[in-house]
Amino acid sequence: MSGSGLNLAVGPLVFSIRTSLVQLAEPLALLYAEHDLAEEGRICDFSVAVVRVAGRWSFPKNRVEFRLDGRRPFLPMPQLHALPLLEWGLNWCIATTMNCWLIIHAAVLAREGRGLILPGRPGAGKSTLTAVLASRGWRLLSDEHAIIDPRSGRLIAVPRPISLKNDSIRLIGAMFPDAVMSPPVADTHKGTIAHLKPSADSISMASEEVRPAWVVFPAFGPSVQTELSAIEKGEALARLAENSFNYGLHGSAGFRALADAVEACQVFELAYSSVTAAADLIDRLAG
Amino acid sequence: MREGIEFRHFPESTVAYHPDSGDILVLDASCGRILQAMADAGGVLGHDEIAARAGEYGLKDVDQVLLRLDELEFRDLLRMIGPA
Repeated sequence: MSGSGLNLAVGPLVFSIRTSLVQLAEPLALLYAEHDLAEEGRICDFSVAVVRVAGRWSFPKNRVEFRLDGRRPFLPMPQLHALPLLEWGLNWCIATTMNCWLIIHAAVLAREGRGLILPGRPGAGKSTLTAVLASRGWRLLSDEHAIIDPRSGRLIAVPRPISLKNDSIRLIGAMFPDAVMSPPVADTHKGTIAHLKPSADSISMASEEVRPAWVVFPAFGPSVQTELSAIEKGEALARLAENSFNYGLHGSAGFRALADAVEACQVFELAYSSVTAAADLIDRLAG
Repeated sequence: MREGIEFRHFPESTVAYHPDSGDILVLDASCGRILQAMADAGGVLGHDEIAARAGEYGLKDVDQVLLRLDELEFRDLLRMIGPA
């Protein structure tokens, strides 16, 4: 990875990842074990690197930074945070540059070609719920981006490790002892982070067609009653637009793509305090 | 009145979208149909004009709908359809 890089095929995208950090080799090999390397000569969509930063008076030593095509979009972070930094960087690459697609801040899973979109503000419990559903056999398309091709209405899969935070790490580990996770990384700006490896099926089926079938807005609350409530489609459309990274860039095509998706879907709000009960409700939706 | 407003009607609501500003307005279905009528007519319609179009746009209780329109944030409507 310190030479020409690791050219990783993730769905329709190719990431060329370079780093001289030995500590990244093992977690990358673990989390991306099922992903293919891109074939020789295939153009890389993103050339990224995680590199050590030379000590400067304004930064502590032992810092690393993420680079995209030589640019530095983020401030350096402690070397121990290298893996979360890389994953956040890859998220940023997709969200800020892939404007041929309509991108919504949401997790997406699928069952039998039918897509479940889980839009969520931070703290809504989206990633924990995604991890449970993925561990129960739902195909993961992404834990961060619902990507819609505005021309076809299809959901695009870019399956990567699921980011878990704080208590969710212990919860998922206890619920699914066979789950493959990277070691937790403490003291990031989002707390303790670990990544859950996506299933082999999620990777191998990434090119298979998925059409939106359900939009479910999760809202975790420690003492709320777990229930699934239908919401009006107009409200769902507006909320999806709010959760979109690049809806405005697509203009009318974006509006129509979102409206078509909502029209095709059942739409709900999911209030929950128990992630198991929430996943049960979603499993029943899929029949 | 601004041109180019797009509408998507759902059973219980209408979403209006203005491509220049990117504004989205969510209305209940009946109010959405009135806004559609205004967009089609190219301007703000008065009570009698809307009543005359009620059948065409599937409006059953025009008085009730106009009351609802009054309750809406009127500036949202103006932002969407522009000045008269």
